[in-house]
Order: sequence, then structure tokens, then C-alpha cells
Amino acid sequence: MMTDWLPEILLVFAALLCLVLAPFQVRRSWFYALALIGIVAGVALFYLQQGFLVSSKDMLGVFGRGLAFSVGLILVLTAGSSGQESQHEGERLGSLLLGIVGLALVARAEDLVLLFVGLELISVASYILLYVDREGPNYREAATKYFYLSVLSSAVFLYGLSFVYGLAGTLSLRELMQAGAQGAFTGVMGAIPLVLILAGIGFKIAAVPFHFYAPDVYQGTSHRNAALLSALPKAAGMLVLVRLLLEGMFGGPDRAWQVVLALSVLTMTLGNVLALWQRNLRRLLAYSSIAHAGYMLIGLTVAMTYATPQGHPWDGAAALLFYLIVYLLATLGAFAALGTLRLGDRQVETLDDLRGLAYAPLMDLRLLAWSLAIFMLSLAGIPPLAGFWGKLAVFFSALDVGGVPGGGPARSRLVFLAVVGAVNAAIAAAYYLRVVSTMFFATLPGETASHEERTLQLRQGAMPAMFAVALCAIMTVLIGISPGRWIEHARRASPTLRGPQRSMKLATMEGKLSEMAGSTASSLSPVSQDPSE
Amino acid sequence: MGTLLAITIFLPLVGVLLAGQTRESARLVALTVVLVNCLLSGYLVFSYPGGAPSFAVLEVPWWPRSEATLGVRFAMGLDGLSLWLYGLTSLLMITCVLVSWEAVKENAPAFYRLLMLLYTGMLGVFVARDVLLFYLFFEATLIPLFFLIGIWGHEERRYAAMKFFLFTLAGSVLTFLGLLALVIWNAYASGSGVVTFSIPELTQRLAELRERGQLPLAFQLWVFWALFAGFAVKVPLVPLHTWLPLAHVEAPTAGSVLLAGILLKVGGYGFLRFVLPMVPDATMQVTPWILALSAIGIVYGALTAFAQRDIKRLIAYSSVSHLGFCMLGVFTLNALGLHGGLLQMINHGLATGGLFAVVGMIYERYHTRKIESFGGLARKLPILAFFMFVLTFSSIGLPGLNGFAGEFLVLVGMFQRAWHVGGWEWVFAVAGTLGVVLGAWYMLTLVGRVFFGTLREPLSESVAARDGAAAEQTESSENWHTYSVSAGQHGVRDLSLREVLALAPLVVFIVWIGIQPQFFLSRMTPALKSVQKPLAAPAATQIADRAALPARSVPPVGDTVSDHLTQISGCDAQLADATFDTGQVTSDHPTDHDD
Repeated sequence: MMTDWLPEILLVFAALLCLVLAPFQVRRSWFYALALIGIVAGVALFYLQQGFLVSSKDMLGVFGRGLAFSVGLILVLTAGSSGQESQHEGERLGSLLLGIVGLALVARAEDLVLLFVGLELISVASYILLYVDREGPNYREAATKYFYLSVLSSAVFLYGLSFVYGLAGTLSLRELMQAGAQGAFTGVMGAIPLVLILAGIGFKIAAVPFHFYAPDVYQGTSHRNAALLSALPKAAGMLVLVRLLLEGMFGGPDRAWQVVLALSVLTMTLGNVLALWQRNLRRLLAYSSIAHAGYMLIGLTVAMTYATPQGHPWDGAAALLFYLIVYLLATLGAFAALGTLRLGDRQVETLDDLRGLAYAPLMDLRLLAWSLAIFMLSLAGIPPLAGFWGKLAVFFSALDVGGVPGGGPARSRLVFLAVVGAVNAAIAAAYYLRVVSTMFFATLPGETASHEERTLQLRQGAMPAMFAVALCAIMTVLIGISPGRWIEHARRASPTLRGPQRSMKLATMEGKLSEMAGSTASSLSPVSQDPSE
Repeated sequence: MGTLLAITIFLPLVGVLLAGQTRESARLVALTVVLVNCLLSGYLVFSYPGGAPSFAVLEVPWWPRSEATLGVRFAMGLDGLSLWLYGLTSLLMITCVLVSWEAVKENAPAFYRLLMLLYTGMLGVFVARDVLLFYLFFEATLIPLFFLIGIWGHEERRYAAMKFFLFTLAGSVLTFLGLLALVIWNAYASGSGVVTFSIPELTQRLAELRERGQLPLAFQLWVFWALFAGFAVKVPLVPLHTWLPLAHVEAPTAGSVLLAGILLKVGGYGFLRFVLPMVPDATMQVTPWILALSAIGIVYGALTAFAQRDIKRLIAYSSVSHLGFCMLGVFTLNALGLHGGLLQMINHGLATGGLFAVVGMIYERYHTRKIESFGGLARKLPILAFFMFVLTFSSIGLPGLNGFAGEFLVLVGMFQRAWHVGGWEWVFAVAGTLGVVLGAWYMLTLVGRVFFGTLREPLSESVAARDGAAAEQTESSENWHTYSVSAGQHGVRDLSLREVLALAPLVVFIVWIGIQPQFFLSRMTPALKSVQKPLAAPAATQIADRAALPARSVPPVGDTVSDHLTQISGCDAQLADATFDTGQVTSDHPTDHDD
């Protein structure tokens, strides 16, 4: 239906207008106003449609698009111009809007080609942004590194898709589901596309053996680009994994979840442990975002066992999607907050630059310090902030399958996974707290006046970014106090939980489950007997 | 009543909003909130009907949209375990606000806001009747205290705050997994598949599962160690205690008072609330080891305290020793010990909380806490000395004050257990007794050095500024000089009315518990009885299992002891008789009559 596409069309139109006007002598603030109007209209249109007009059957698509537009709003607010940067404001904002559209396309794609095009749209936008935005200290290195590795990963992913096509004989996700339901991906041949897809997407989400670029690229570029890289590719990658591995391929071969389990353990542990030594803020947050990819992969591991009993609060996919919301809010908020700060004529780089931020003379800076504290504590998973519920969701999902009596091989390993996750949460708290303690404890309340030479300031035109920070902080606290509504969104989007259109899938799952968990299969059977589709 | 309970929990949050921008407004709002809340919660606590299993229960759905599937409810209420800890929190908050009145100068509005947040968190931990709600409040107390230590603490504050936070968090994430494992096990093993987070319901269902033999010992042991990780750090039991002296010493006075008075109790409360009733077989299996750790903690804490040269550090290590007592009592697993352990938690909160407040007052006057720089303060500061004496006597268990009732019950419980189990348990019992003696030794030495003898005062900064000439003549290289002067020469005053009011409520309760312990004990009894029930009677399926393991049976003392406790009149001698009588009545051992 055409109206369903209106938000995306609107955004593409705004993006193209930005790009077309870019060579002309247009005032830079106009581009920003244009991008802002575009994204606000897009978001408003999307939510209006979801509220009144369109009732989509594809809840994962709706969830992903909602995420895309909301993240896009924050990114555009964050991307505001300061007085002294490059001439390429039009290109920059246009590319950003296209990247956002890319994420929306990934979310709603019903075809492997469109899925890939969406991913590439994000990648191409990122290349341009990384090169055009010259605020970062090593923007050329960052852009080059990201470009080559990203191209390689896209090729690997595409190679994986070609195997999918070879095995299933179709590019449509709907038909793929049917092929997967008939066991097209269960054999040894199913392992090849699975591994290739995991490798290709592993780059996008910065999972561990494919993570090497992230710290360097984040450190080399500006805060707003780091925000983009930690949000768009990661969200897109997670949506692709859920869509392709869970919905399309039914988790692939029987033991495929063990591969993801290994990825998850490595990603969490390495990300968190390496972050402990970082002094550069963006590098630290890069490792943090690697680690959070690991937590989300816990959810994927659990979902790929297909052993979560019916009606239970969290299956793995729902946990993953909920965690994604929580992670994005805190990470985007943190980058937005850091992006508004300026130390002399440069952006803040190291932890020491934040020293005493909580006692800055300016009220706005003090509020920024408190917001950053909220984001860090939320990322560390301390209640009553949103991050806690994310951790609860993934750990609960893992233990839930681990607790199934007679749960087969999945049982002890998923409990192990939950324990690794919990230990990691404790490790991670160390470096998040270091950020907080630098801002709050490094100087006594009265001492700030003494070091005049390096005062932190807000950059020019930081109001929209401040608004984004406030938005993220408020949402983080609100979700922390009352997460039910958001968990419900994630649950409805989860492809592994029941729904009328999923009954066919459950019918084939029953075969798998009978060998994995006897008792769970019996509880599933009433649903799978419904042959309506 | 439930509504009133909810009001007391959330009133401090109103204080956070109203605190205003200036120091005056903030501390005034904080004091008002604390006083009003203390009245309200005092009314709640004293209207608790003795013998009731729970009281003032409030349950509302928390997440309206997914309530059906999640079963998370905003459920709170009081019972015998939480009643006095809840009351103690409100009482100690008055002390905290009053001792911070002048001491906190910088950023005072933020200080009182965080204090109020901490207040809500602490009350919430004790009243939560939902596992998630409990954990939420449990962790939420970390954030305000982290900032309180880190911003308003002393020299090493940054390191202390980080260490405190990380130790506690590392333990509590494992506790969290343990709690989730229990919730999930309950959902599956019962066959219903219904996930419940409600603590009373969970306890009851797990007990039923255990009776049917569906709670295997191996699973219980895993869960036990997971829960142990968080609660033992919080208590703290000995190898996990290293964060405590640091955090205590570096925290501002209010932080130390609350840390010692309330937050350490959360660990013991967690053991009583979750570990003992939910995984009883594992508890019985592991008990000797926990008792050993407690006994080591008692002696080690006491000896380390004796070696300290800093008053605050000494009291911090005495906390390690005293908390060892609480754990010794709880893990005797008999009625006397459980009552004693829980009472001792309250006692320690009153006495050590008060002692930290007194140390804060000394520090405010002299800006040092070195023991050797003080002497004969009793002449100079008689009122402060009076409070110090009362708190010290309470801390060392002088008969007639609260410490005696608690320590006595713990030791009697421990000896009773040792009598039945034998072996190493005697060593633990003797070590506990030794701990009492050592406790008296180091506390009285401290009081003797600081408050008696010839008057010696450190040179405080204000005095140094005033008569700097005199200071230069002394040869000490340190900035705290000690020299004898006649009283009144320094500008140091005795306690003001505010400071007296900060300490007086504690002293009232110290004396009250001392002369009338059964009033407090009787209200704990119903809850402790249900805690002890699975421990006294092993499940049918476990008997064969446990028979193979030697020396693990627990004497069937239970109901009668608790009943007798309610009849004990105020006199301590009678308390002693009554408890020994019950030992005779309920014991299977004929040789138990020998006293």
C-alpha cells in the first residue's frame, strides 16, 4: 500500500533536496532546518499511521521502522551544525537522512535484494559522513578503514545470501519462510550461509572477531558520526539477524545456536575487558558498544534454540529487541551529550577532559553531567534505569530455556551464558563508573574556579543536541520506572513468539523441539495444530 | 495501612523535588520529611499486631499492559523480619540529617536530595514483597551512596566509592541470577508454567516443591552460592569485607551511619528472607562453613579493630566483628539464634550508627580521628562522652542495654547448636564468646585512651589560626599537634542541642530494647518461625540423603522456644532462665539438664 511508504518517501525527498541544493550558495542553517522538518514530519507521519491508518501484519517491520525514525530524530538533532565546520553541510545531512531510510528499508524489506539495498544505503551514507565531517582528529583514517572493511563485509554477506538463494530457490522472505519451514537450511549446506551471514553482519554489529575497526573508527571521527555508527549499522544488523536467521532460516542447522553462543561470549568479554584500559571517550564507548552487541547476541542464541515455552515473558528475540531500544537510548544520549561539549577549539577526547564537569559554572553543563551519569549507569545496568530491564530480559530469556526440565544440550550452556553475562555486567560497571567518577569526584565542589585554562564550554548551536540528550535521559528513566509497554512492543515484534501468521512455523518447530525439550513441545502443540495458513 | 506504607516510601521523593536551591531550604525540607516520615512509620511499626504474619500489605499491578504474562506487581508490606529494620531506617535518618546539618557545606541541596533518594531505596528494600522490586531497591541504594561517598567523602573517596560499588555490584548480579533461577524453577517444576515474582507466594510454592522432592539439593546449592555472593558481600562476611573499612572511613558521617546502620543489614535480611526459607536443604548443608566464616570474622574483625589508630577505622572493623555475630546467630538455624541474630542487627544499627555519628562530631571539632592525639575528652566534652559511653556499652553488650540481649541469644543459640552437632561447632561457639571479650577490650581501650587520662587535644585548624605562635613552638612535624591545655582554652564546645537530639533517639531505643527485649522479639517471632520451619523438619525425600551425611541434623527446637520468648519479662536474668528452660524442655538430649 502506497500510504504505508509515505514517511520513507518524505525522508528521501528531503534528503534529495538537501543533496541537490548543496552545491548552491544556500545558508547552512537552512539545510539543518530542512533535515529537521523532514525527520519530524516523517516521525509524526509514522506514528499517526500506526495509530490510526495502517494495521500491518508484519510487527517486526513496524517495530524496526519505529526504531529507525526515532533513532533518526535523535541523530538529526545531534547532527546540528556548529559555526566552523566544512562546506558540505547539505551532503552531510542528506546522507544522514538516507541512512535513516536505509534502516527503515531493512526493517520492512520483504525481499533479500531490498534488504541488502537497505544495508548498503546505510553503509554508503556512513562512508560519506565519515569523510565529509572533518571534526574528528583522524577522519581520513577512520573513513578509509571503515570503507574497505565495510565493503568486504558486504561482499561476504552477499555471498551468504547467494547460498540462501541456492538452497531455497527464492529471494522473497515470505517464500523463504516456507522453504525454511520445510527444512531447507538444516543440513550441512545450511551452515555455509549461516556462517557467511554471521560474518557479514558481525561486522555491522561489531561482534568480536569482526570488531577491529570499531575502536579506531570511533576514535578517529566526530561524536555525531560515532553516534551514527553505534546506532544505524548495529540496529540494522540486529534486525537482519532476527529477520533472516530466525524468521527466514529458522535458526539454520540444529546446532547453529552454539556458534552464536561462542560469538556472544567472546564479544561481551573482550569488549568489556578491553574497555577497562581506555582513556579516550569514543574508544571506550566503542568497546562498550561491542560489549552490548554481545549481550544482544545472548538473546539471539536463546531464540535460535527455539525452546522458549509459550506465554513466557521473554523469548530471546523479544529480549534482543528490547535490549536494542535500551542500548540505543543510552548510547545515542551519551554521544549527543559529548558532542555538545567543546574544550577550547576541539571536541572532548579523553576522560580527563570531563574532569569536574558536574561543578561547571554553567547550569547546562551540570545537567549534561547528570544526563551522562544516567546514560552510563543505564549502560551498566543499574536499576531503576532502562538498562537494568534490558539485562533482566536477556538473562531471563537465557535462564528460562536453561530452566526447562530436560531441556537438552541447550540447558547448561545457556545457564553458563547467563552467568558470563552477569559477570560481564559487573566488569562493565568499572569503566562506566570511572566516567561518572571523573565528572563528579575528580575535583571538590569548590575547586573548579582554579583551572581556568581549560574550561569546558557548550558548542555553538547546541540547543537541538541538548534537546536530544534530554529526550534520551527522560526516556531512559521512564523506561526504567515503567518498562511494561516497551517490553510489550518488543514481544509483539518477536518472530519466535506465537502469532496467527506464525502457526506454520511452529508446526515445523515441533519436530525440532521433540528432540530438544519434550515438555515444551507438548505445550506448543495446541497452537501448531491450527492449519489456518 | 498499605497506603500509609506507600506514602512513607515515596514521601522522601517529594522531598527530592522540594529541596530547593539553597542549603537552608534543602536541609529544612530534609528534616521535615524525615521527621514526618519517622512519625508515620513509627505509627505503622507500633500498630503492628503481634503474631500477625504480615501487615500493611499493598499490591498494585506495576506494568499494566503485560501484567498477565509477567506477574510483576508493585507489592509491599511489613512482617516480622522487616518491621524493625524498617523502623530503624526512619530513626537513623533523623540522626543523619542532624549530623549533616553543619558538616555539609558544599553542594548541600544535592547532598540532601541524594540522601532522600537513599532513604526511599532503603525503605523499599525492606518492604518489597516482589523479587524484582526487592532487587530494584537493593541496587538503587548503590547509586546515591556512590555519589555521597564520592563527592562528600574524605581523601580517598574516589577509590572508596568505586570499590564499594564494584564489590557490591559484582556480588549482587550473581544474586540476581540466583533469584531468577528460583523464579524459573518454580514455574517449571510446579508444572503450572506461571511465572511469579511474589516473595510470599514463591516461598510457599518452593516449600511445597521441596516436600514433593522437586527441589534437588544440587540445584539448591547452586542457587545458594549465587545468592550468597551478593548477600555475603553486603553483610560482609570475612574474605569479602575489604570494601567495608575503606567505604566507612571515607564516607561522610551520614553515609557511614547509614552504611553501618542499614545497608549492611540488607545482607543479613537477604539471608533471612531468601536463602533460609527458599533453599533450606542447601543452607543446612553449607551452614558449618558459614558459621566458620562468621567465627573467623568475629575474631579477625576484633583483632584488626584493636590494631587501628584511627577511631573511625576501629569502629568500621568492629562492624565486621559484630556482623559476624549476626550471621552466627542466623546460621545457628534455631529459634534462639535467629531471634538473636535479627535483634543483633537492630542493635548494631543503633550502636554503631550512633558511634559513627559521635566520631563525626569529634572530627568536626578537631579535624582528626587519630586515637593517640586525644586524651581525657570526658572532662572537656562531658555530654559527648556520655553518649559515647552509652553507645560503647551497648556495643559491647553490657547487661541492661540492647547489646546484651542480642549477643546473649546468639551465643545461647550457638552453644545449643554445638551441643547437638558437636565437633567444630564448639570452636565456633567459643570463638563467638571470645569475640565478646575482645569487643569489650578494644572498645574500652578506645574509650579509655580518648576520654580518660590527662586532657590532650589535637590542634584544630581554627585554633591554629588563632594562636599560631603557640603552634609553632611545638615540635611535632604533623599538622595535628598534641599538647596539654586547660579545658576551655580551645574554641571547642560540647554538643549542641541539635547534636543531642541526633543521638538521643538512639539512646532511648538502646535502653528500651535493653530492658524490654521481648516487646521487640515477640514481633519477630511469627516470621522467624516460618523461616525456621523447613529447617527444623527436613523434607521427606531429603532424609535419606541427609542421613548419609554425618552431623547435619538440627535440634527440633522451634515453636516452644519462640513461645517462651514471648513470655519473657523484661529482666535479663529471667530471660536467661527462660531460654535455658526451653533448652531443657525441647531437647532430646537427657544430658542437657546439667546446668
